[in-house]
Amino acid sequence: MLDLKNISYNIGTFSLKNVNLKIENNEYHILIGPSGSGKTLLLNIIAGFLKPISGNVIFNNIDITKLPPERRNISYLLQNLALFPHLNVYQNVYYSLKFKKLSSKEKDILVRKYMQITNIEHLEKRYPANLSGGEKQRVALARCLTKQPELLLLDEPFSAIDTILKTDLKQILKRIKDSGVGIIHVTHDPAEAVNLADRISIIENGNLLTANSQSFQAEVPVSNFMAKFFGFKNIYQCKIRDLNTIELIDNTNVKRIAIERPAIFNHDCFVYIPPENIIVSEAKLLSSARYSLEAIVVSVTEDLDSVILECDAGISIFAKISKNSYIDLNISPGKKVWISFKVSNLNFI
Amino acid sequence: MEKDFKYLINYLLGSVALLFIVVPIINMYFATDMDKIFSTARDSEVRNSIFLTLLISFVTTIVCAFFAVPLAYLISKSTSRMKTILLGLVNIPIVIPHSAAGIALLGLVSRDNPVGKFASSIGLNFIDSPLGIAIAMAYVSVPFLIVSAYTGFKEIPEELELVSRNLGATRWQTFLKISIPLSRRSILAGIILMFSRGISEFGAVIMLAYFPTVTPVLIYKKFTTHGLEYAQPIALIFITICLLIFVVYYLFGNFSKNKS
Repeated sequence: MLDLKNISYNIGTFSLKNVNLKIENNEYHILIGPSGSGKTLLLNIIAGFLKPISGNVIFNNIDITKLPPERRNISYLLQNLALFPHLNVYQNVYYSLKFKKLSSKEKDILVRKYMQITNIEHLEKRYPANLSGGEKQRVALARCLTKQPELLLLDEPFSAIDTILKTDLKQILKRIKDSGVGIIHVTHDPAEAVNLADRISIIENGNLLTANSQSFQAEVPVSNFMAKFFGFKNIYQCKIRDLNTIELIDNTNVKRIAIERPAIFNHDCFVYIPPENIIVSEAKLLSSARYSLEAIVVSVTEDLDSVILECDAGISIFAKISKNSYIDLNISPGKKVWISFKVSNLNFI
Repeated sequence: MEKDFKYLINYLLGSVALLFIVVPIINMYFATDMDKIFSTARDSEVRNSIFLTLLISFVTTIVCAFFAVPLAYLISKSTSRMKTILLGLVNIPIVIPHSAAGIALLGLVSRDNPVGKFASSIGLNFIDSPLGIAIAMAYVSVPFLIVSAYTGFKEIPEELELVSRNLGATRWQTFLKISIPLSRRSILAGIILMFSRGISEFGAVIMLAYFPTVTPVLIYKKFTTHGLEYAQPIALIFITICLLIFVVYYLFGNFSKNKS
């Protein structure tokens, strides 16, 4: 569907360097990178807002590098949403249809269809100034969809909404993807990547590395990389030993665990275990659905409503527990604990 | 205490500035006989002059808007150094004496000049004609419209125009459907400013067209031929009209602020 070939762009002292990226039809592709790494710049080039100094943007086998934005069948959800303040919700969603040769009835049907998908029918006559962050997000998404794009660009779509709305929006995005729209989703949050992505690319200082490929694994020492750029915990290099055994590698430390891995992961990859999915207890939990490890608490970091424990179980594992659990378990550095997680909580990347 | 004293000085100095602006106008209202005001208002020469002034300024402003607004838009979108130069050029009529501006225009449209000759050949006469009044008014007042519209366009977040294009609008469609509606208040404010500046123009107008007589010229004519007593009622009526326009502009500005 989309093929970026040796895209380069300079802005001030920053530059995108020979970016190559292929997005297949119907793919949900996540582009992760820290602030200022060039993620949005790349989306702007794909959308046609910026012209690369070299390289080509190929879309459906046609070179669209010099095509103006309005002639690309690509929708772009900007991070700040950019809803038109002088138009109400219906008019915002309708906007792209002003430039299409359809009857008024057909246009109205399309607008109502996408307002229904994004659950904003009740907001039809409201203006953007009177919408909440989550409502604005859904209106902007509906406006993108009404264009009926083949590719949807999302720039940090979850940045300004709360957890409940995130879940709603994730479901909507999954439905959009299932309807046949390719998606490139830019984020700095690896948790989003794990939940939604078919494939992940990592962008660092203008250089792009694509996950799930040999080159990515060869070039990126994952634990260091993730720790350095995302400050994210519990991401391990994962080596497949046999059908029921994997090795989790944290820097040079190796922990061999016996689990039934998903059949599709038949090569070395990465595993992410969300810290909030790890249970900490004083005794081993007896459950065949859980994998338990004995560990020693290394450090304790208190947050507003939770506590992060760094545990040494042969590899470094972080667990996020509630303050009540922390008090009940009387945890302090040096204490022996059992940490356990469901096998389904292992996210293979 | 020292701080309070300094603050009091601000009040005193500010009051002097305010009185300097307001007192001559107030004095005129008190110094002019009401009967004279009413009889002047009934004078057909005065009424025709006021009507002509308002009409020419209105038409001039509307016609100029079709040229000034696109120019303001292009300047606001310019990213080159030309932007500063263009803004400077646009403001020239504000910084030069208006009588000098009138002389410059007269030089251009006189029959000795190729432009004047060409205009004459197609039947356009600028000297002592409404057309001459119009170009004199336009020249000195159009910067107000351009600058106001420019400010409005500049305040539009670039993302809105980019999103519009991403959604299928061409640059022209984006200009019409996003940029113009979003800066309409600034454009309308500029139109009111240009119109009110146009009706009060004297220096440039008198160089091109003593006749037909617009009100500022009529006030001057009455003053030089009959004296202050005869000029004052016309001036007062005209000032009242200008103040009413100013009130509309002020209310409009406040309304815009409240709405935004």
